[in-house]
Formats: sequence, C-alpha cells, structure tokens
Amino acid sequence: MTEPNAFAGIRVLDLGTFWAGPYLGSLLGALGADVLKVEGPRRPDGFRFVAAFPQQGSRWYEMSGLFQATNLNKRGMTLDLGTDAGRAVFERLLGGADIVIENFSPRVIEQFGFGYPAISAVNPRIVMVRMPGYGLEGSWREFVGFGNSFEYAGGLGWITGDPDGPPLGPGGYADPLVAMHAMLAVIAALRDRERTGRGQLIELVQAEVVAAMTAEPVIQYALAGEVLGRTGARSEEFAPQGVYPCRGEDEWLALTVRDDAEWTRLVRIVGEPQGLPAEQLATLAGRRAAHDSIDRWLSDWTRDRDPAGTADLLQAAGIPAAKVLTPAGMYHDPQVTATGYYQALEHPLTGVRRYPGWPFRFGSGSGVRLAHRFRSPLLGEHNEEILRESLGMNPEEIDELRHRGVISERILGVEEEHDGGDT
Amino acid sequence: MVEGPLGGMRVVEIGQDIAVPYAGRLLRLLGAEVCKIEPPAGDRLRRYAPSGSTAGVGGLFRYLNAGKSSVALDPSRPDGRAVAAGLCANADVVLVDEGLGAVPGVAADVAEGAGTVVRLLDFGAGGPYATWQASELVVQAAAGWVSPRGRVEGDPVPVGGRLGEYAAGTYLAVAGLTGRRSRADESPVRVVVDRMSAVFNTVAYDMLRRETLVELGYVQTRYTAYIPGPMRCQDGMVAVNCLTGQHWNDLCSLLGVPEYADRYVEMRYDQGDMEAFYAAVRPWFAATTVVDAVEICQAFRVPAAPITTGATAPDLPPFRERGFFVPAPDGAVHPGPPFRLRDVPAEPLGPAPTLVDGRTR
Repeated sequence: MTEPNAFAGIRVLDLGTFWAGPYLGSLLGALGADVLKVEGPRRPDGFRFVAAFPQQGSRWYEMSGLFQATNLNKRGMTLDLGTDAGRAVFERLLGGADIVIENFSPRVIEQFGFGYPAISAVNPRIVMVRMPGYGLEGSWREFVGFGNSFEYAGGLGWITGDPDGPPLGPGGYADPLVAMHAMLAVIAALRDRERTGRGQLIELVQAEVVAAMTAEPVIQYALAGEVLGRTGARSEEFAPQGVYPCRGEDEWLALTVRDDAEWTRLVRIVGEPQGLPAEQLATLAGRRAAHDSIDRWLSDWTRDRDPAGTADLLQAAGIPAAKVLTPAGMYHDPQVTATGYYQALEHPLTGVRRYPGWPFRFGSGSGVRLAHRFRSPLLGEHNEEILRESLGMNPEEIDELRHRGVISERILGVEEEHDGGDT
Repeated sequence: MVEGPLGGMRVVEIGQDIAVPYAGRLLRLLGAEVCKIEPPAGDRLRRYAPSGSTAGVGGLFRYLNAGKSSVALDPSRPDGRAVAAGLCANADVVLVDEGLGAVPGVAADVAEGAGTVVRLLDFGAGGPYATWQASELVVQAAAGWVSPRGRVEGDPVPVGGRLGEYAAGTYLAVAGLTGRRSRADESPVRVVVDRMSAVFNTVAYDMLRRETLVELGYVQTRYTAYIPGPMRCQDGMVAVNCLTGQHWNDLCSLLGVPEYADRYVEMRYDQGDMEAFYAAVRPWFAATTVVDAVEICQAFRVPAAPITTGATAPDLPPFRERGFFVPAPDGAVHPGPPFRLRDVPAEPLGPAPTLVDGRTR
C-alpha cells in the first residue's frame, strides 16, 4: 500500500477544535503525516466536553468518543499560547512545521500573535489552514457558529424537512465535509509549494462550503424567480418515493420507484392498490398526483413488516429500498460490518472502542480500506517526547514549563472553566 | 485557462448528475484541466430543473461544469470507446461513476492507462448491499442521514438538496488528489469510494455519542437536534443552536428565562418540558427582527444564524461583503469557490461546455 505514506515527512500543528479542524488533522495523520495536536492546558479542544459528562470521573474530559474519533493518528501536547513561554515554544515548533490548522473564531489565533503574516515570517514554507465560520474579514468575522448554524445560514436547513413543517437542520454534517474541502486545498497548496518554495494561507469559510453544496436554490431563484422549499422525502423525478413505518419502535423503510417498470414489479409484490385506477398509476405523472393515497397503501403494507427483510425483498426485485439506519443500529449494520468500516482501537481510559473508518479503498479491485494508525492522545500525553525530540529541551526546561502552567498533562482550572458539562 | 495550484493536472470525469461533476468542479477551481465524458444525449442534468418545469433547465449543470471541456461518446461504437480510452490515457486522474451517475457503457476499465483512477460505487464493491439498487433517498436511509431530525413525533426525512451527492463528490475529489500524491513510484493507483460510506462517514460519530448516553442513562429522541432550533421572528426565521451548556446558559439569560439556565442536559435529553420553554421564549423572538435576534445572540456568543432561502442567501452579510456569489454567464448566480488560496486568487471559470460529439474532436 502506498496511500499511508502520501504525507510522510509532513508535520502538522493542529490547533483545531471540535470537528472540522481536528477531522482534517486526523486524515492527514492517517495518510502518514506527523500531526501534533496542540491544546491549551486551561482551554483544551471543546470536543472533549461533548458526549462526555462530569459523572464519568475526574478525567471525564478524556472520555468523549467524539473527541477520540476525530483525533486519531495524532500525538498530543499542551501549550498555553497566552504566555510568552508558550508562544516561544510554538514559534520554535513552527520552524519545523509544514501545515498549521485552526478553526477558532478569527480573533483567537490573532490574539496569540499567530495570524498568517506572523507565521509565515517565522517559516514561509508553512501552509496555514484557517476555517472561520463566516470569513476572516467582514461584519460577521467574530460571529460564532458550528455545523448546524452554517447549514441554516448556507440555505441547507430551509430545504430540509416536510413541506408543512419547519426547516430542520441536517445535524452538523457540514463539519467533516468542510474538512474534506480543506484537504483538497491543502494538497493543492503543497503542490504549489513544490514549485514556488513558499507556503500560503488557505481560508476556508464554513458557511461558504455549505452554500457551495446548496447551489440549486440560489440558481433556481436567479433563473426562474422560484423559491425552492421543502419536499420531505419526495422527489420531482420519481414516484412513489418515501419513508414508511415498519414493525417496532423507530423502524422505517425507505424506497424509491424510479420508473414504470419498477412500479409494475412493486405492485406484483404488494398487490393492487384498492380504489386507485391502474392506468393512472402506470405513469409518473399519475403516481405523483396520487402520492398521498399511494403512501397510505404502502404504509398499510409496511406497518407490520420487518424493514431489513422488506428491503431485501424489494432489492431482489430491483427496486431501491433500505432500512432507515438509526444510531442504535450503526454498530450492527450488515453492510458497514461486512466492509470493515469500523476500526477497534484501545484507549487507556475508555478501553476498546470501535471508531469510524474512512470511505477510501486503495489498490486494485475493492482494495484495502485506509486505516487509522493509532489512538487519540490523552491531554498533553506527548509533551515530553515532542519537546525533547523536536526542540531538544532537557527535563529541567520541560519541568519549568510544567511548573509555570505552560504545559500540563491534566486540565488546569477545570472546575472553573467547565462546571456544567454539556453535549 | 485558469492558472492555479493544480495547473497542468489533467482530469477526466466520467459521470452524470452531481457527484462526479462536483468532484471535477472542485479540482477545476484549483486549476486542473477537466474534461467530461458524456453519453450521446449529454449529461442528464443538462435537461433537469428542480421544479419539474422548464424554468431553470440546466442551471445546476452549468454551475457544476463551468470551465470544463466535454465530449459526448457512444461507448458501444469502437471509435467512441477509443476516444474515451485515449483521453484517460493522457490523464493524471480519472473519476468514474459506476453507480447512480454512471455513463452507460463506460466503466473504469476504459481508464486502464491512467495513473490514478477513482471509482465511485453506490454501496461498495463487497458486502450484502454491493449489488443493491440506489437512489439518493435510499443511500441516505442506509447510511443514517434519514432520521426524525429535530422532532420527537416527526416522520423521518432526508437531508435536502441531494447533499449526499455532494458528500460523495467531495470524498471522490479527495481520493483523486490523495491518490495522485501517493503515486511516488509512478505505479498505477486505484481507489474506490462508495456513496454509502461517504455519507456514513459524516454521521457514524453519533453512535459514539449514543454509547455514552446509554451507559449514563440518558435518552435522546431528538438525536440530531441542537436546542432550541428554528425560531420564528418578526420578519423571518432564525436558527439558534446551543452546542454547549455555556451557550444554553447564556441564551436563557438573554431571553429572560434564567430558571432554565442550568438545565441544558435535562432539556436536551428529553427530561425537561421543551414546550413550556418554547411558550416562554416565543414572544421574545416574535417581537424581534432576524437581524436583531442574530446580533443579540451573537453578542452573548450564542450561535445564531438566519435561515436563508434561495432568494435571501446571496444577501447574507458575510456572503455579500465577500462577494461570494457571482453572476454566471447564463444569467444565474453561482456560489464561488469554497476555498480561497490567498496567493492564487480564483478567476472566473467561464461557461459550461456545450454538447459536442467526441468523434469530431
């Protein structure tokens, strides 16, 4: 396999927080980069406090599965960039770095004195990735947000949901997609550096990424003056299409009939819909006009059925259908399990957990799934290793940093900073 | 010719609709030269309008394919296949949809001579779903994107706007560039991406959250909801989504309902009376404009954003001030590049290609 080495020899300073920034670092690490996760000893990555609770013990900030999953393939260190000593250490690390990642509100990194001009003055070969919510400039520069906010601001929330219901935020899926857009720009900038010898600033505005993937409503309004709304699960191109209740709690089946031949096969399986003229339902237009009645007919059929078995039955007839996957079923999904999507890794405090893999397979045929290289770091776990090996610091110097609270292997001021827990 | 960091890189895309063309668009924006291979009648998106009427036909095609070249080929004819193979042999990266957006009769084997070939499948090359038929809805359902998002009693709905196709296209483009970069010894690189994994990769983290919640005895039926969610204002809608307990605490303070301030976990995980909360705060939003609601929430560092539509998104201050949306040659408005490389400013891509018979090239 060649793919894990695509970024061998590349060092990343990952200041990312929550999802979008850290996820980029995790992929670079999986592909061979040496990724140093840099966190504040008093203000570590906020994802440590999501899906983690104080009742998990004094080191609950190490327990979050979300933090762990988005920080695989990295070494971890702490550094208080609010101190002169912390900034001095970071400057020295910049000297040997290729990529810097950050996705704070823009003022944060600049207050530390590490905007792009300062970073490039230390090391002009660095590619710096900044992921503000709404831009490094402009009247919304300091506005906060996360994936859900950007999905609404970028137009995706408005077109998600039922026609007679409210807009519904998709759920923050923008974060990993923002990271993947950043990955493209990083690879391009590294290629550019091979020619010019210089790094550069990449600005990835998270709301803009969502808007780039939600182009259709804006285009349609510009061309036709039409404001696209919500269509629920229905489609302009196919009918019937919908999500139907099945036997059991929160059990559903999704299906799409793409053409008249599939409709004929569906009727052969389900039986003729009573009270609906067959000739009308033989065409897309007729089925669209009778969609409500068709939905009731299909719901009556699915209500006492097992969704997985019904999906198999319909798929055997060449009709697209699937059981609706919920979080409760994600560990047991037959396709995900069979294709080796999850990767089990052992964490010293939470034991073995199965983490999401990557959707890439390399090699001929189906190939080998890109793997994670190692587990996520504990807070400051590699402080000594990094400071000693990368900067040549001796134990006394490192102890002095620890004594002054510039580095730490435990969160400092946790009672004051994070007394509420969350997720 | 757009100069960019990928200048000199040749990409061939074989795929209709959204996923492969979006991948090609992303690489084109970074400076690659992108050539489409279309069926004789052209990419079906050329004939598509979202409302099913004639208004806006082909608008999305022109956005996704701006600045590319194109050839239309009949792969059942030897000369058609030879042209396709020749284009691929000269390409650095070939992107091939063998699923929902396949060009009939053209699979990855036409690109045997290319350096990096990325195949896009619907459910993967193996596993029990490998031969399954797909649609955007069915892929989203199988991969975890169809859920009763945000509502306890609501029926499941997919994410709108065919986002799954954009997700697949994004991962496809990453696979193409990663594959190209890993090709140090000039041996062929072959990569497979599938739609289900691409979508699942964005949501699989929910099970890690759920695992902890179950262990600690919490329930979360609104499992993609960040409370309080969409709120109706005097002149439109605003989304207020609290990611942390601190956000919630601050929101309750500014709304004048401090009695809820310390109850984030309880409210989020179905142990509190959200209806009573909504009844208490709806009047504040109803009496406030969207602009004021967003500014007041943001002053408290609470994530709040207007809920934009196709009509209003281009006027959102950050988009307008940064000139993100740009006029298109066909009179439409297009989103700009989703990334900005400061040393290599993006230039207009120009029009999408007209349909040209590849054999005449």
